[in-house]
Amino acid sequence: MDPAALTFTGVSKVYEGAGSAERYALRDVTCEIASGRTVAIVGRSGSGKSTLLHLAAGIDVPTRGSVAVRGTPLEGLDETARTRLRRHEIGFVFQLFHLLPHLTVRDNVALPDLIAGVRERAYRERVAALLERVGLPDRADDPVAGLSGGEMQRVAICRALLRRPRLLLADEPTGSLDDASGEVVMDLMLRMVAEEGATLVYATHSRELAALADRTLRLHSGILEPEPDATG
Amino acid sequence: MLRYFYRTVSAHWRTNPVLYGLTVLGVALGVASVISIRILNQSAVASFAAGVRTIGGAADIVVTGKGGTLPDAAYPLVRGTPGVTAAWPVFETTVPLEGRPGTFARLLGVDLLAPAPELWEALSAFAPEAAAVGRRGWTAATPELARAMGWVPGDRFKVRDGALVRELRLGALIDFERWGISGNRRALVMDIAGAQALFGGAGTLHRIGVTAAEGVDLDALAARIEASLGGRADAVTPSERTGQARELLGAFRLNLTALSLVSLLVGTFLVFSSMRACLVWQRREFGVLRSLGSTPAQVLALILGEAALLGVLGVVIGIVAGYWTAIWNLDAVSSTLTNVYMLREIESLEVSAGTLALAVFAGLGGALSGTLLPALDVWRRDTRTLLDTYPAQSAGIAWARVLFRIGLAVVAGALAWYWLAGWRWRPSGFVLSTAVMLCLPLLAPWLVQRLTGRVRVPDFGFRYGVRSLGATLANTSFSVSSLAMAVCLLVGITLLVESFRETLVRWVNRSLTGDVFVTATVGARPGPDATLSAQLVERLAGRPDVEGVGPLRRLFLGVEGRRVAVVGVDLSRAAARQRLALLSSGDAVGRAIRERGILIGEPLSRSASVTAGDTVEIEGPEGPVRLPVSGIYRDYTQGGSVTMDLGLMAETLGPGALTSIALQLRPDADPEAVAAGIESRHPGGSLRVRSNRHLKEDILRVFDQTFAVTRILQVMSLIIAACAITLTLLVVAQEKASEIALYRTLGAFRRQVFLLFVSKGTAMAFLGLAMGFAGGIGLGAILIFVIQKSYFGWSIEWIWPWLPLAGEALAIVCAAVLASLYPAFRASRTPANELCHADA
Amino acid sequence: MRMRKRKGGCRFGLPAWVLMLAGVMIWSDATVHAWTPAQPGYVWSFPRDHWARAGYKTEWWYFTGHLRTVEEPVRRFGYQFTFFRIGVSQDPPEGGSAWSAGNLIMGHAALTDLETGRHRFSELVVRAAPLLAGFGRHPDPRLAWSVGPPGTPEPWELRWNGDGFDFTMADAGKSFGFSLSTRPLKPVVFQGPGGLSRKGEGATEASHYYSFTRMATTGTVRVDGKELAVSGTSWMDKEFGSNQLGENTQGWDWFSLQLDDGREVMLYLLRSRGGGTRYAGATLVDPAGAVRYLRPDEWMLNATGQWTSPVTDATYPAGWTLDIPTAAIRAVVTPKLADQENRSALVPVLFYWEGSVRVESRSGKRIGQGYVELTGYGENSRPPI
Repeated sequence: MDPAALTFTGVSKVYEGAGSAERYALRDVTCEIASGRTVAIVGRSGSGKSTLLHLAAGIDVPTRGSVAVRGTPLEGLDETARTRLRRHEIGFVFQLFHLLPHLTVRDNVALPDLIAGVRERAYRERVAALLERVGLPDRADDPVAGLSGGEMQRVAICRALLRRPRLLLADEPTGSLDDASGEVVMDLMLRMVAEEGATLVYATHSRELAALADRTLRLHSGILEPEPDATG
Repeated sequence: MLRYFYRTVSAHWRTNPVLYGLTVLGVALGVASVISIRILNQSAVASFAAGVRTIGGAADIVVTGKGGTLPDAAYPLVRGTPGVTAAWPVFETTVPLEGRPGTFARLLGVDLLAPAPELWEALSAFAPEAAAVGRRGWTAATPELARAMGWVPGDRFKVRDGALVRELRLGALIDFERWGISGNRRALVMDIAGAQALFGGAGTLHRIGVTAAEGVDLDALAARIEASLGGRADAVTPSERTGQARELLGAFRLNLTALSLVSLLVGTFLVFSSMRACLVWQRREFGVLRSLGSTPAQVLALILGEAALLGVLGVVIGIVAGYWTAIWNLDAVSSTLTNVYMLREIESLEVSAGTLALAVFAGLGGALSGTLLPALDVWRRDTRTLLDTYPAQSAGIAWARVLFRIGLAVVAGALAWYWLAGWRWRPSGFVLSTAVMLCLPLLAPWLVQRLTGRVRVPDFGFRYGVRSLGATLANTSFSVSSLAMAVCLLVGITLLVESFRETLVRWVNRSLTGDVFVTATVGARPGPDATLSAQLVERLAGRPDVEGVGPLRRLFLGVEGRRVAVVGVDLSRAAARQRLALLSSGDAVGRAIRERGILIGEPLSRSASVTAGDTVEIEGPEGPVRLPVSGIYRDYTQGGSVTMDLGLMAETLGPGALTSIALQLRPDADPEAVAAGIESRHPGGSLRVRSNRHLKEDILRVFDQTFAVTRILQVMSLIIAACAITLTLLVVAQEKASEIALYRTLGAFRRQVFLLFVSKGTAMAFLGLAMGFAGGIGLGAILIFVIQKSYFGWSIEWIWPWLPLAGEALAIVCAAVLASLYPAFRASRTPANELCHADA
Repeated sequence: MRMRKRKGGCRFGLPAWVLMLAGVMIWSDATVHAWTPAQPGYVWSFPRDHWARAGYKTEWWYFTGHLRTVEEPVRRFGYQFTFFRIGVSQDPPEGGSAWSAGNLIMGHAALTDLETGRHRFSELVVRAAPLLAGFGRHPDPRLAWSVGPPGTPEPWELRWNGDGFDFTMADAGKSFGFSLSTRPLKPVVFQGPGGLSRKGEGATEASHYYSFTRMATTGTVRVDGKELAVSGTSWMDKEFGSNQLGENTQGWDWFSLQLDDGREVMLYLLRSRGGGTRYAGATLVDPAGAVRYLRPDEWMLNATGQWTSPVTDATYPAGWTLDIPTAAIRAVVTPKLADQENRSALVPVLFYWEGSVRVESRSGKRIGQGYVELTGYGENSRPPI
């Protein structure tokens, strides 16, 4: 059996506050997310959703506890190994898309392969296929500045899925979009994740969007609320 | 708001000390480069003016011989001229101090027994010592010289006089400068009788200082003195004297002045771009302020206030740094003055109010103007765009093109102006150079954009770095143009210096045809009054290892109102013909022999507007002589020269002894050995004997010394270039933190980000190099073909100094790589969650 | 004119600086031969002794006198003309430099316009190098000559004309000059027995000294561009010696009086540094030229007034009573003009009073005229060595 896509064991993240006061972003979080599932993390602003995603992506390290991605505990990895893990196993979608304005749509999608040193020949078709999949095949050579918000996020999803990550993390993926395009994007993302057989963990504050997930985790002031129906 | 201002400034310092420090350093460097050169320039001029005072003492009029010296008999005539209240004779020579190679002192022989009233106090202050003038070798020295040499009164010391060593006794220490006897702080003074007797100058004076009665018209008095000497002497007022000597120093001063102008331009630009860069990363903060309800004017005041603060700090540091740079380079400039121009060395650095004002102007002006554009931009923009994570760059394309067109227009306009009218105006070369330097920053943005936009990006490596430069066009093009200006300067000066040097080498190789050169000297220096005796010439010609003798007689005479060397050679000798690199066509030498004409050097031809076919007037010792000009030749001597046949010279200017001869040796003879042999065998005669190789080395050493000061600018350019790159990359690292964080999130290693930034730095270096080389070639052409020609009349051959240029390019690339290391390191440490914080 | 601290004097000694110069030179250079001091037994020989006597360190020819124009309107002048020879070295550096010199020559000349009250002074100091100045040798008629002061093309010259002295000077800057020819009316007068004039008790404190106390004088005076024919009477002194002044000498007062009855009186007082008379001497010449040296107790000189120079601040005596009972002289001596101070610009420490005086009886009747020299007055004044 596949190891769990993501495992949090007694994870706390503490930020130093003013003076000696400590602020808990996450407090003693323990959960396990099985492979191939879609999980929504809900909670108010500041409840620790983003922190949880950052810890999962290895771009932040927990103060206490252990985070494991597909059975690999991140605390045992150095910066380079964490980066390598991110490169091969994890995709990320941001609320603000973070597309690079000086690159074309195609180059933005191809960026992870570019960074990973993959030859253009090797990713050309994959990029085309992804853009085709999100319905932007004819915008490949356009500068990203001309795209709408929904289009931008679709490009961002292509970028996140380019290297076939096993784990896709999305932080408020529709937060910057209107409801209509938000739904379209969310729908597309879920379907593509399913097609790729990846695990999706996304943060949202929308009950409607959360309802689309297999499982919902609620964060309140950094504490994971017990799930009514623990089916993860 | 004021409290906020203090807080933000201190907070900025704390959060980004390197960037702020670098900005201040940028301002300081700009200011330092401007004022160090200016300080040196002014100090050289001041020292030079003091040198003129040295020549004149406290005199209202200085009388010098047309042939360089005056006979003793001129003194009573000058003294007796109505209107004169005092006249004092001066015999002067420069003596090498024995035991200290390369150290010279000015030795003055004055009338210590009956000093002019102006000098009386100085001498009465040490009357008992002065009394000892009756003793041979009694000498008074300046305290500075004594200190430098470790002498105390009573010591004996030795000086060289040609091959002879003279022992002198230090009788007293006197501050001659204070008494106006000499402006030279390394001077020796002895009684004129002793000086003439010891240094082989019996019968000759170098000048007579004159003070005039109150109310006497100095020009009229000068004319009366000249008339009483039968027109064989020049009586000049100090202002005339300054004018004459100023021309002598022309090349050197022009060099410094040009450098100081260019450094002002580059320095101000560096300040400008430093401030600009510093401001970019504060954009978002201003956005926040605006969103919190600050008015645009408040934000503008905040920005300008901070800029002014940084500017002031930079100016203060820059003045100190500039002063130290000047001190650091003092030796080079100073030794040029003393060794090449025979003037006193720079003894104190002059920091005038004007220099300080210039520093403030360059520093604060550059800082404020560098701030103004982005500040206005911030002022205009709405709050939201200020808060953007990725500030829009698309607008850049439009302004880059506009600037490019302006840049082209500037160059085209300058060229058109020069073509139509400017060439008649002497300083037009400076206008052209300024246009070249100015067009670089104007052309840079568009060129950067076009060049980087074309780059295909196959991987996340060097080319990705180049491509992303276009994404930060404003920052990038500023540092690229800073670098380009620095490179332009470097290349232009290198082209000039190396071309000039090579031209000189070729000219020297061509004109120095003898194997050994024997020159008569007085007081260790060839002087117009130093001649070779006929017996000596005969004896040398009769040596078994000598095959031929090239005679040369040199006089210093007024030609068309200019004081130049008039050289007599045997024009019928092949070597003499070959010696002249003729510029005019045809057999000019043959024509000169047939027509009884003269040949004139190019600088004289230009300055006096005389060409072949004209006649020129030479103020001969026996009166003015008019002779036709048969041809023009290349000439790189200071002040210019005229060459004629020895026979014609004797006929028209009077007979006289040779001043030097060139010995043609048999092929098996060793020139070095022969030179050494002649020198050692003639200890009694004051001879300077140099082998061909030795003489060439001497000439080139003087040349190298003259241009030594340009090294300051070369080093300065490198620092400026490196500084600009570091600054830009730091700003980019700051500004693009989100982008870097994205790369990191997408799986880029720190190593990759590091290399990306080094690539950016290197790419900027190459862009700057390319533009700078293009500009530098233009600048070099202007320096060589316009400025040197119009100021000195020197034809310089264009030579590509590949090796020095390649070395400089390599140095710049290395500097760029080094300069990008720190920002690259900073960028690589950007945490990946930086991106997400922006989202929070 | 700039104010400077001034010291020094003239006539018996020389300006302090010059003597110091020459003196130190002797001390500092062992190879220089010693200068000959004035000693008894000198064998005089005229006219040869009118020429320079090498071997003595200092020597001078001193002329003073009174002139009046030949033509109307009558203008009266007092004048002074002096050439000093100052031995610097008896062994000048050889080596062919034309500037090599063993002597300095100093020329002083003054012309006092007794009508307008203007006193003019001219001077020169040059080394006695062939180019500039020199001393003739018997029988060359030139005794001494020099280029003129700066700005003056004409030289200064003193000649022996076989009978008397001719001398000429000019100063273009000061706008005056004169050319005078003198003829002695009396034979040579030796000032002191054998021509040895004692200046103190020390062995070398003496000089060889003779005078022509009355000489008919004719010639021209040039003043402010006018040339005036003049005639009058002069007094001439020639003196030479080496280190003749004692160390404690502050200065001296010297009188040369020509009485209308045909007699002449020369008297001098050397003053000590602390005040008081250090040494004194007097000579009386009768109308026929017979000389009598007066004992110190035979004459009495009292200063009756004083004058302070506005330029140098020196206060000089001005006005005397002179009593020589053995010669039936009871005279009042009064400066014809208060300011007859000679102030050197070339040697700023040198200034002295040298002026024409009236000689009158106690009742105010003119009985003669003369010249008086006063040196060593003024603040911080130091005696010449």
